[in-house]
Amino acid sequence: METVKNVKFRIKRWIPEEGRFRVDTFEVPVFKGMTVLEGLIYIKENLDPSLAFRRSCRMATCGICGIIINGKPMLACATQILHLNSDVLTLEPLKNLPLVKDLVVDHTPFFEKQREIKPYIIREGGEEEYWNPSREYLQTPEEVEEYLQFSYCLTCALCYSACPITGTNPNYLGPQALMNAYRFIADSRDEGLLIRLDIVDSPDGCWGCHLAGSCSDACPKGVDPALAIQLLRRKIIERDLGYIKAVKGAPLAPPLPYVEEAKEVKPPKFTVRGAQKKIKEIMEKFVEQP
Amino acid sequence: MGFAKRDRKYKTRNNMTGTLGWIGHLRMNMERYLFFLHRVTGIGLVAYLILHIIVTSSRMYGESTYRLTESVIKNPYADIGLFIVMAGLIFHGVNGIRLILNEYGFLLGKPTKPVYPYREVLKTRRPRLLLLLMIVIGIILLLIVGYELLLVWVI
Repeated sequence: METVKNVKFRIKRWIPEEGRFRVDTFEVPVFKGMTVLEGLIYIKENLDPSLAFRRSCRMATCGICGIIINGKPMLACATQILHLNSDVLTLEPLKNLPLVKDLVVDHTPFFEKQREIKPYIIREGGEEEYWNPSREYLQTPEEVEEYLQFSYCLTCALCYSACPITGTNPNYLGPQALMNAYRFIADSRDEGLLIRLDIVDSPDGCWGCHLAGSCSDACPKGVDPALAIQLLRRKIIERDLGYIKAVKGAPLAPPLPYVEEAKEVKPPKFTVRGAQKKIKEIMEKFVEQP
Repeated sequence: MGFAKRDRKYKTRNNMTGTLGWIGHLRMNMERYLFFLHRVTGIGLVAYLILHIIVTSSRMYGESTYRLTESVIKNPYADIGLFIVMAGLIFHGVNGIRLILNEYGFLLGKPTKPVYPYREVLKTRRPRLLLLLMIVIGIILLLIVGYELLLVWVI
């Protein structure tokens, strides 16, 4: 690859042994299309092997490489260095999360808050169907579009880092958890609307949001948590005015005619040992033939 | 040596942005600046309210005391301060109306398919038109206040 220019990486590293930050500067030759994550890998391979950062998929799917680049939370793998139009990049670990080492942060509080809003489909009275699902729920494409945008979340914690409310209120659920609550409320298969509204209806829940819009600005997948939180408030108002009482989830799909027949057909007994035996027989025949 | 290293506690920090994090950094979206100004003007108005109560409570100690306080606050510099307070009040009120409308889900529309380029609802036409309308109303109110305050000293 042809080097276009040299870019300085100013990395604000957390030193866990000393309990303070240290700023290290590295010079990285940048080629066209190089991402910030590739720059970090270059530093780790060639300049400083002690540099710690998280990465996995390097294609904006796993959402673990979130760092703050020039003051803005971004995914390192989805940000091209040349697109930033800057000769000096300032890299910091994500804010509002406990620091571990260098650019690595602990996502535990973030995931705990997500768990609080029960991020799964709740069906009342359908315990057996919940644990041993036999058939799917019916859902029209229009009903899917109600929540599709919110289901694209990577749980990368960029919105959590960008939000000014999480920065001052450690109990605030955060944009991601509230957005996820709305994602399940808007899902037509779900019946847990009233349970979830009780969880988010508090100053630490969706009333803590002050519409700074930073979460939507930071989101790398266009999920728009700011919209979801406002729609969540609308649901609470509707509940308080008495428009919503109980929600009936989407019905189960009718049993298909061939399912019962298929149960009667026994699966073929095909084991590894049996296969080896068969291969041996065939091989022996093959050897005997000439 | 090895044991000592294993026993050593590694330090951590929650790394909260705190109150200074309201402004965050300089490449923020429009609503974040408005959020910051809304908070600052809110705090400023509370401070002004305390000052206002102190000034008006001087009436409790008789008319002569109140006349004395009045003579202190009646000067052009105090009126410039009053103009700034009024500007903060107008911003806080006008932005508050915008927030009430948007925070209850009005003018925001429905979620869309997440197709690139992604759409942010706050950057779409209707919330931005509402913001523009509020800016126009705010400027008109500010001009009225400025004119009224100017009348006292010009005429």
